[in-house]
Amino acid sequence: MLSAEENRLLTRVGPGTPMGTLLRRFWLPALVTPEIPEPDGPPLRLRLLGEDLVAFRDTDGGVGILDAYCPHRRAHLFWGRNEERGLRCAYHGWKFDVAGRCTDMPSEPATSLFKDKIRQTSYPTREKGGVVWVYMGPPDKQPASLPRLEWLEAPDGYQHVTKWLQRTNWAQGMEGEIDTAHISFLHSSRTKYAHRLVHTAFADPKRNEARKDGAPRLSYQEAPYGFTYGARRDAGDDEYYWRVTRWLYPFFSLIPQVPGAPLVVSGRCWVPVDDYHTWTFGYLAREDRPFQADEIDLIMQGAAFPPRLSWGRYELPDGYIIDTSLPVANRDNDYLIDRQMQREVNYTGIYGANEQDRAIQEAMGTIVDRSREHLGSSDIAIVAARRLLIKMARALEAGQEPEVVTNPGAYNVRAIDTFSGHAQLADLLAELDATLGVARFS
Amino acid sequence: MTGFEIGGSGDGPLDRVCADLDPLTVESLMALIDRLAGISTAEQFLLRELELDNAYRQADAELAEAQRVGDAERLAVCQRSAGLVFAAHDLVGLERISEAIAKLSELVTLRLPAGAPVPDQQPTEG
Repeated sequence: MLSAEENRLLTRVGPGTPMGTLLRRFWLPALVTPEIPEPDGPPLRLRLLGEDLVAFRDTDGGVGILDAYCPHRRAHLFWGRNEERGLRCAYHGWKFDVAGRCTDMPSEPATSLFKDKIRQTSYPTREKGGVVWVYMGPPDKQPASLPRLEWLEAPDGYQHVTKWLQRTNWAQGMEGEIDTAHISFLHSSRTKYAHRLVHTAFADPKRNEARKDGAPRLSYQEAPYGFTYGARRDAGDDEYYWRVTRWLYPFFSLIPQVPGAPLVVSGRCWVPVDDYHTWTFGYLAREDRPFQADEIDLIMQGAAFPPRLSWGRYELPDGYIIDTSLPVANRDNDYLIDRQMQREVNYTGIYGANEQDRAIQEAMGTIVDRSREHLGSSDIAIVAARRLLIKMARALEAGQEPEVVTNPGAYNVRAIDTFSGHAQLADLLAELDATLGVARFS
Repeated sequence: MTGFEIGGSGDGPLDRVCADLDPLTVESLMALIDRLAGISTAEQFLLRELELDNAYRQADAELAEAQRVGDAERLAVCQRSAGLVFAAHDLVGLERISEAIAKLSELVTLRLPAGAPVPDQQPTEG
């Protein structure tokens, strides 16, 4: 549980809020490359951390993320012309480059120098791993490097990243990811129908047997990147089956994959659109070769992550419109629940794992009242993530900068799924953090 | 311990969650006060916070039951108990241990059976 005050601190992300200030110290995923594929293509409307923005790819391929509203008459730049190294406002022709410089002001006399005094708010961007990253904090605090996450470091095509809208506060989605116990219920099914890249993980008989231990010992250990938590199950003959998950500041997960399975990385992150909506980014990576088209088709069928998606526009409750990937199964259609399926196939009657998650999380209310929840011992990871973020936000308020943003190498870890004789997580990590637990792409 | 067992990175008694069947008995609360007093790592703060989450779950369930039964005297005790656990939980989150211990000591006194001697609530040495 959290007090109302701490719940506000955790969930509010607008400019000037403690958590919003903290998140603005990190490079944040903003877009996936396919959303903004070509130079001089259509601009996009987006909102991040409560700020209304427009994104465009200029003639040279650079991505600009600017304040959405033209400083002249507050026209939305989405209507603008993306041409010749800049986005030109459709209202009076003011033109801005990716750095926010006003490069043309045709409504003013040719001799006017006024355009040189105008600067549209713009945020630095980087593009890597199929994602456009943005930094929205103070320029002098900008981290030099993106976090060295394995899926980012992998060669182009070895990763597959998708993005979709969740209609809750960001922390709600993030907490669902590290809610260990729900998987045995919400996502259980009589018939395996997940796409085969994930399905392979469940095909090992020894692991299947070990998973029958329904009361794993959970262990927790802080790390420079955030924390690790491990579930240890008895596997007989003084051996244990360990699944070791990573949670990385401020909102990334790395879920263990079975050695030898096609996927080596699977995880999600939750980027706040505003206090009530979230972009979920799902990332997968393999290390043997690039994904093939048929594999991507399979992933996009929505059995796991991402959910089934359609591209469209979405009007936020305050009237602002964003251009986004929208889940096909959503709150407006009861996530396409099928009660027959619930009786005969799976626990929920809802098709995909993320669709199941969102059905639960979005129905909690956009910001769940954490003063009314009743956490138990199995909620250690949720308690840890909240506490670490709240502590970090408070420390920043007191003038202590988060160290992890200047330590991109800390992110170069991999989740672990293995059998071991070690009974303690610390011993397991001491042996394996430099081998199984380290990213191959770095 | 039933169900999940939780451990931190260390081996000591403070590095695991004590999930007592009833975390609100006087004995459980006294033991928790001892564990709070012994905290030496950030991780142990977290584990104690989790124990207080467990305790709050129990306190709030008792409160709901008292509301259902409508026993005014019991209801007052349960409201006070839940409030003290909630406050102690928040204080542990803020790493204000001596204040959290004071809240739990008050709770021990509140939950003593009528006529029972008040135990020494100073944390055990070491």
